[in-house]
Amino acid sequence: MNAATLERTPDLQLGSHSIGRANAVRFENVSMTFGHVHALERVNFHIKAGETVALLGPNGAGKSTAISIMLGLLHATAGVSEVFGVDPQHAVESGRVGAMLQTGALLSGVSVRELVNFVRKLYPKPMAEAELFERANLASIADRKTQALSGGEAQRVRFAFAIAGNPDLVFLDEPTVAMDVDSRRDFWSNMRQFAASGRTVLFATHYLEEADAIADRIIVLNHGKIVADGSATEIKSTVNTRVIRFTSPDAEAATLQTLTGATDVQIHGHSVELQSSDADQTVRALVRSELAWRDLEVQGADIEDAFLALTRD
Amino acid sequence: MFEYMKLEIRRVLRDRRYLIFSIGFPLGFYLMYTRAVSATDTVDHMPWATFYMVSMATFGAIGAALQSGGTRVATERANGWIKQLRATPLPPRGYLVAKGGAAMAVAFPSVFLIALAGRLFNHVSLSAASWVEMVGLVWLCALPFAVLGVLLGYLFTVDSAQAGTTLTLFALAIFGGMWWPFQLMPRAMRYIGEATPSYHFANIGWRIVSGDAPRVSDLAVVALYAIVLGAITMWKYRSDSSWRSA
Repeated sequence: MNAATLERTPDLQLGSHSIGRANAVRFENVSMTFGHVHALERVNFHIKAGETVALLGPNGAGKSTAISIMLGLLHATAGVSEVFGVDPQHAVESGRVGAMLQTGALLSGVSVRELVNFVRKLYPKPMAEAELFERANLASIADRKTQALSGGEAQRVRFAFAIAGNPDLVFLDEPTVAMDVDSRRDFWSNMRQFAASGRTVLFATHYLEEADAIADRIIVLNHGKIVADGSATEIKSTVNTRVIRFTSPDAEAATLQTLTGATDVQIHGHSVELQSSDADQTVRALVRSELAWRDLEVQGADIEDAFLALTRD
Repeated sequence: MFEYMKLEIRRVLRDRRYLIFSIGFPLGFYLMYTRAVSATDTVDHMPWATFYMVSMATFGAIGAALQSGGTRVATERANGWIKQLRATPLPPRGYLVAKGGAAMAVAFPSVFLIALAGRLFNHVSLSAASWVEMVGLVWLCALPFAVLGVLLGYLFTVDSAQAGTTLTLFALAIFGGMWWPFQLMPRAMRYIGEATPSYHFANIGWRIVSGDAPRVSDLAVVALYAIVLGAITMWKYRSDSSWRSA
């Protein structure tokens, strides 16, 4: 790690992720263009060995493109991308990287056991079969043919692919998309156990609560650019949106909208909810106004407010 | 790579379409037409049962080789399986080697079973050396068709691959003189036939069972086809980017 790389931080670099342990992933000014579409624009981040990082963003933000570059499946139009200090493709060939892709049918005509064992044998130091089946929760479907699996079951097999090689770094692209609530919970519990054994995990998601609950660090992407990078708490604190709640029998949305700092007004019966980018000023304006109100409450933003504020167009 | 080949062989052998087209049809035709046509008939001084054994063995081998590539390759490019493989340490050429190797492996039972049927049911008599040479060399010379099967998967899409593979198989079989003897075909068809790898492929077998050594020219054409088709396949494989967006 040299001083030059430390200086090139994204627009909003929070925390001190550039200091300390070795880099698992290094992205320096990475851009990716498809024709006239800028999928990624000068994206910078480093991921330390052992971190669990969420790549959060709306659909089309560039999450899958970034993962494809980190896997060597796509070559960046500009910039430097490295995994464990080498070209991503070499890192994949060395077997230190595992991936669970968003799409990707399973090979048909074989059993789960045959397919997963085949993938295991592609790696130089694979995970033992018993451990893998346990970690990916495959015992009950091991002898089923791949074409007879439900969406959630197929995702379990794909997770097994990702960890079959006992990799140091795992990429998961929208891993819980086809899962119901129960399988989603089981999946994250398996994933957390895996991450706890010292592996680096990077997962893409558009579920805020997943990023908030699982990741040590969240990188928020929007329109191919990093708009925030830090812990969930840090990201929440970057957003100065506050929610002001009170009860009022005669509140009118149009009037409330004119209060200093107010960005959004919602009225349900007598209860009013005001979003404000400057809660102090809004409350002052509210006190000065002629409106009759009681039960005033001011609350900080939650991760969802932060995310919406960061990815607002 | 070897593990992948084993997995592919298992997949093809379990496929009903493989069993029907590559073993069922040629074996059925062989047993049927050697009964429909008088046993005393000869083609080029060869008994019909001997001649048609080679026709169906080579037809079955081509069928097996094409079936194991074609549709599967087209499907796997489109459905993301190739992308998934690219995210593993399998070297990129491993895919081609596994597919081509599996196609060769599944071509063997077609040749072997037809030869066995010839010996057991149609009393074809050859010296032990000729049997080994016929089965062994015919099998080895199926190589350009194993390569072609993979290539078809790059030339066709998922929707057209099945029809494309089947039509290619039928064209190769008809112009190669496998369905009815080359000698009985109109002149124009024979000209086309001589340009196909299948005619020369079958001719290697026919020469062996009639007691002659295979012609160098036939072997050369088969080898040339293997090399040229191999080069085209490598090029298509390298330039294909459809799997990336799968």
